[in-house]
Amino acid sequence: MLMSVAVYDLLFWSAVALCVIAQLFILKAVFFPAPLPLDGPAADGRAAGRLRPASRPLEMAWVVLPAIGLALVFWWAWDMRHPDAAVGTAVAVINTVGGTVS
Amino acid sequence: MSTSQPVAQRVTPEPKATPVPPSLGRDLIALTKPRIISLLLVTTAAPMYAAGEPSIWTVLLVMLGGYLMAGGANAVNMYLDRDIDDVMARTRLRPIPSGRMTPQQVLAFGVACAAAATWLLAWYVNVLAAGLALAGFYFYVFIYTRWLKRSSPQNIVIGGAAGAFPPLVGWAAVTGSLDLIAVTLFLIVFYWTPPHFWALALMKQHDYGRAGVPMAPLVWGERETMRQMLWYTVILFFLTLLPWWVGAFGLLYLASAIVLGALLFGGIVQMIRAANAGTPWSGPAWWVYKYSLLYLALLFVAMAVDRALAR
Repeated sequence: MLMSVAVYDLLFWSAVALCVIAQLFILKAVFFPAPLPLDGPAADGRAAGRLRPASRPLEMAWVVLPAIGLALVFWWAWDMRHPDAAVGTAVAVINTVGGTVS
Repeated sequence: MSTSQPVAQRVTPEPKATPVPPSLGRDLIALTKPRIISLLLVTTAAPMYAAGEPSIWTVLLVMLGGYLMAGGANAVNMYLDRDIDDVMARTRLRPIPSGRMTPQQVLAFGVACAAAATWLLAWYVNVLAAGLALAGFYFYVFIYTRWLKRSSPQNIVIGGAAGAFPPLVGWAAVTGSLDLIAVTLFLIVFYWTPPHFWALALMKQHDYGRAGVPMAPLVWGERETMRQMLWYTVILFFLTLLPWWVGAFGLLYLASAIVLGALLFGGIVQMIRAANAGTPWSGPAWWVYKYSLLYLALLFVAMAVDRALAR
């Protein structure tokens, strides 16, 4: 499909933005959980001692890790389509850091 | 979905047990969970054709190795879960809880299958494919079954990584390496898993509750689980577009990914609407569960067809 680079990039960043929003809602469910259900099998399971509470730090790690993986894949895809831009950005960062250090 | 409505009235009743004449061969096949593996084989074979032009011999060997590895993992899973399989109606007829096989026999069968698969893939395909398949086995057995399944509502999310290894195996079998597209296929299966399994978990939550397995609907509640299914599907939708965006696949794949993804999204929205309206949602949930199987298979077939037509 013939499209300008700008349109491709707009599609990419729109997808990234929507994925970020979705990922934030996924993170929110673990970092700021809603009150536990008061009835149904969940409450029955807790009352019977069958459902043990999960480790909070581990739960947080389990949702953060895929988010990092997702970010890396999007970065990798961007780098694949814009190799010069990525190298240019990296060089600029190195120069900036080098300039600050010296 | 009204909270005053008893959950028992909303979920689909358990299927009745049908007597099956005992047969060792049938039990050994049952241990491998062939219906689940059939989808894994599609997500292994399609990436092979998307990655290159493999010989039919290579494809058959990878299929056999993949079946043995996944079947071995499923058998070891049945060994480790033998205590709760007896509690859940869905799993009560499996060979161990029904007394047709001993736990030791099942464990030996599972380990033997995994060992045979490792040898087959390493010897006849390549070491990377064998290593990835074995990593999937260990991930499923130790990270999912042994660790997360009974301790975290994220069990399906992280455990889903085990089911995401087959595309990597298929890709590595043809190219001998992994690249962005292979990793994207891994993530596609990874983000597909929660909406797929949570649809089942919503309907079987009584079973999971009795067995003490903290599936998301039991820990977060039904509505939050449905919302999470929607968010995972949003990410899945855009992830499936990424291979087209980097130029790996063409218009046929793009159109398939959009249509298939939109249908999955629509199904989940319909389920949430039914729940919010207080009407029965088990019908839409079943549809999402069954359609998500078709979705993944067709998406991967579209990849292979797209690349075949481009050559």
